[in-house]
Amino acid sequence: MTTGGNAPLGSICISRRAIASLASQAALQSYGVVGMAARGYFEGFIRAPARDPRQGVEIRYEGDEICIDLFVVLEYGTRIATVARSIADTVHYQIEHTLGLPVREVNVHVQGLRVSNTD
Amino acid sequence: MTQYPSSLGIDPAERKGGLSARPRFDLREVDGILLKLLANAGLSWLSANQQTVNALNVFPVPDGDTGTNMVLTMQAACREIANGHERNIGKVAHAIAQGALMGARGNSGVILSQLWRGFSRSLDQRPRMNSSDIVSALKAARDTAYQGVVRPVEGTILTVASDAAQAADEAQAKNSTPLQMLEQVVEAADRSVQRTPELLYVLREAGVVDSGGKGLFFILEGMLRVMRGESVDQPSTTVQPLSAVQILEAEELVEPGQDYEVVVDFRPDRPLDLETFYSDLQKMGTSIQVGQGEDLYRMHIHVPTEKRYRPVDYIMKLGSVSKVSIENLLEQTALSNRKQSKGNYRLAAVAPGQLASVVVAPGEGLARVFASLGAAAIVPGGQTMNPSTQEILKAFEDLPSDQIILLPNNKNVHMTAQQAKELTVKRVMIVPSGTVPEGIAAMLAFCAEGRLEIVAQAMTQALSNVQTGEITVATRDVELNGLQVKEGQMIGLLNGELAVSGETLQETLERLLEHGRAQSCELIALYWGSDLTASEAKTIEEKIRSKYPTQEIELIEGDQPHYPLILSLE
Repeated sequence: MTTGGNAPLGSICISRRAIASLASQAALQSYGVVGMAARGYFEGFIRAPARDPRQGVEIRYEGDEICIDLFVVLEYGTRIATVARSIADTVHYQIEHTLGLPVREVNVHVQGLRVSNTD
Repeated sequence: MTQYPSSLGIDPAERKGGLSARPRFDLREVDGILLKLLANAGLSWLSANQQTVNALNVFPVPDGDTGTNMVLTMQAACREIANGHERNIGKVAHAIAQGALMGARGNSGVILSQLWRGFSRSLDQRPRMNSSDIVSALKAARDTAYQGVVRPVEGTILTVASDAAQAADEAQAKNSTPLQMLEQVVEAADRSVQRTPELLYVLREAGVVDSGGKGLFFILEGMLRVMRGESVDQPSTTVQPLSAVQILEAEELVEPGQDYEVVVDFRPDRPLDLETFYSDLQKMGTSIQVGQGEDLYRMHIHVPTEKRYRPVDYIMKLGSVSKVSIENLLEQTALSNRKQSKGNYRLAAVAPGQLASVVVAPGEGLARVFASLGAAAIVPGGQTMNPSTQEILKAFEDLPSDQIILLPNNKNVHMTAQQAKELTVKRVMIVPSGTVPEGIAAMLAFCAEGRLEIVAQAMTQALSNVQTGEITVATRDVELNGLQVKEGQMIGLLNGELAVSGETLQETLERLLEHGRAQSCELIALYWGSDLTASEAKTIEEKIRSKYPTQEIELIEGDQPHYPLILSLE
């Protein structure tokens, strides 16, 4: 939980889960992403069936800033470095834009590639 | 380009179409060499229009500019085939796709590389492609591109690729040649680009079309141009929608010698040959823009003084002119500069240890009044545009003094002012002025050399020396204090309370003055707002002067929005 500044009528709390949902939506809309990946058997087991928005997203705080780790599956045949860069940019922008909270870093972990067609 | 091998079957009859050096390629089949030519044409045309595409980028991420990214991606693709003379279209397409993949830059570049990848896959090992191969290749391009993302966003390059494939499919039904098909595809891509703001909110909000989609359109159009034997080096001189002709912006770019701006609305008798039209206009002047509405064209040009009637005469020959406007740009620029310079006011310099005053003021004119009275910082804001705590804090922090008096000048700003006071380490006293005239009365009591508490107290006392009148337009029907007001009527407020209403400004002002017992005042100051012109304000002043001959009347340019008049009665 974090407070989003001191509003005149009280404080605003935004949960990590909410931030994770936003990050996950932004990631899934960026080009080249075909899925979010579980980080291990355990997480896959408990989160995947419930379509938990936290699947593949990890939110940490460093001071007042947010650090985001994304675990993604990309489409085979795209330029991975460019796609990853673009995911980081999109998520960074979307979070800062919608929440108004500073994002320190967005780390993209490519957990796998999906091969739709072989060339 | 003229070196195209004749063995590929260019019908000599087709070539005679132009005495121009460039051949048309209305063939039944496209081979690897033509595909290479097409890809290069797409790249050239995209590069020529790169800045147009860049200008559309609304997504402010350091992703770079869409136009540049797509050009770099296409360059990498074309480099891959630069040295080959491969006839097999499948092999050439694969090389292009490979180059695009390795050189993909930015989001739009990645999608473009996927389009090429799908395109090439469907042509696997084929020596040539005919119309039906083009359809399946464009469909494969679309499918591959859509496969690359879980939630495709419509209103982007993806939509344009999809509409292009659809158009090819429809053209195929009419048994089109590749050239005819490409014509359909380009037209559909153009429509699709124009449609992107309907599909994507961020585009609509920014008032632009999608940049990636526009980039893809230019690539396709470049291909079409080369097939038609047109040049792909000159930037596009296409006609934009009438609403997009940015005459105001062009005004700011007055080149020396091009003193007159001429705008002509006309209806051509014959379909307009744009290339000739542009090249004729280029002989007369610069900053040429042509817009098209419903069979009406608008031409905009900057010309030297002696040529100011030339464009009109020229266009009269082409059709019927419905409207002409000629303006002297130098004079206009001078006017607008003069208008800007009135914003230059000099704020009071503050020495460390002195008191500084921070004032919230709506409008340039009022800011100038406060500055002349010794304000050290002005924060723009007022009734409908409350300043943020941040803005006020910044004003505090930028001052070299640590003792500050703040005049919020509006009841709605008091809370923000209080917050700013709590957030700063500096010592701040708020003089609770609720209106601009109160603030001015308080400011008259300001003294930079005094002690903070004492000066603030004197200023607060000065607040009550003045009565404030405000005149504005009622934004809704209301019944208050026994007054019935209809939306759109003028209303007068005395010290923040609704006091009078009226049909005209003059009427309301006179009633308000009566209500405020102006008869027993010494000074009536009128601050006229941005909705009035100087001469309107002057007329009002004269009438009031004749009505109140014993009072001193002051007319001051306040420039505040929404309130045509603010008055202070002392």
